[in-house]
Amino acid sequence: MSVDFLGGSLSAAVLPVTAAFVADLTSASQRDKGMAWMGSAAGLGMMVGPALGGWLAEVDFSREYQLWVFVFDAFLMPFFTAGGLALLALAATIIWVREPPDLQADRTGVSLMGMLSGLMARKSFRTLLYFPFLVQFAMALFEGTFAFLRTWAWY
Amino acid sequence: MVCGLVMAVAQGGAVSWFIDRLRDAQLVFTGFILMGLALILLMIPRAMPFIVLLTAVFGFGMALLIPILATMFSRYSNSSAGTVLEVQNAVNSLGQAMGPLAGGLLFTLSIHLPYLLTGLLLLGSTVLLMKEFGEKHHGGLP
Repeated sequence: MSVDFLGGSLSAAVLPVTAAFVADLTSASQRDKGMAWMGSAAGLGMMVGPALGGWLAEVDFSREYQLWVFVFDAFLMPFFTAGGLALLALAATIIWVREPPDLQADRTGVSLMGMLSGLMARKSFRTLLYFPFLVQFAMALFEGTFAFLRTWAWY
Repeated sequence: MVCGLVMAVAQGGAVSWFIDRLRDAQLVFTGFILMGLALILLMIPRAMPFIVLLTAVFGFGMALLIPILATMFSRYSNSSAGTVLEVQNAVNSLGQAMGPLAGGLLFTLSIHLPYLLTGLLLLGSTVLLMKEFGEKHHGGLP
């Protein structure tokens, strides 16, 4: 659970920062499409990931290595693969991803709290906050209860 | 799986077709209607193919909504899109945490209640959407 918490904390920034980068790189008219492509890529990853993890967990690597308290066996292969892919993504980001010079805003003196309170003072922004909440609420509710619904449909 | 597949494929293709033809608020409106109707109609069929079809419609609604909402949020920022999108991400996480909780509680009352209430909430939200982001108020944009 602690590892899960740590993983969640460290990876939570990836999607919003990627979305911000897409927002910076696309014109106002092309931004929707940029976000959609990003969503598609993330969706494909979320589909392929569990399948790959399941396959890796079942592959018989026949050997087991131990280093101090850590045991490296077939069960851990999905975790190592995920970690390796994350490192690969990090290397690719360091090598290829550059913020265009004309977008490198001077952020000195910008207060996060000031920015947030400015946003929250706008009624339309407060209303907009409700929409992604509702969408994710509906999605999570659907995913959480779908197994029951399927059982009901079959019997 | 069906939902994820539809979302991944739709966002890579069909969603662009809609984006070229509709304004942001209209796209969100369409997404809410598709998701809401799919959830409500899920109470009717007992045949698996219909459930899969409605799941696909639900996923397509999500595929429309996710990029458009991110775009709408990003328009509130001048230089710090990251901050605005982090706020959206926090709200997303809240929704993801509360959805299964509320769904589980409602499920104990009736198998249909989570879908009916959430579907009605999604359809009802179109009124709020048009009131705040309809063309008369903001030209369809935040």
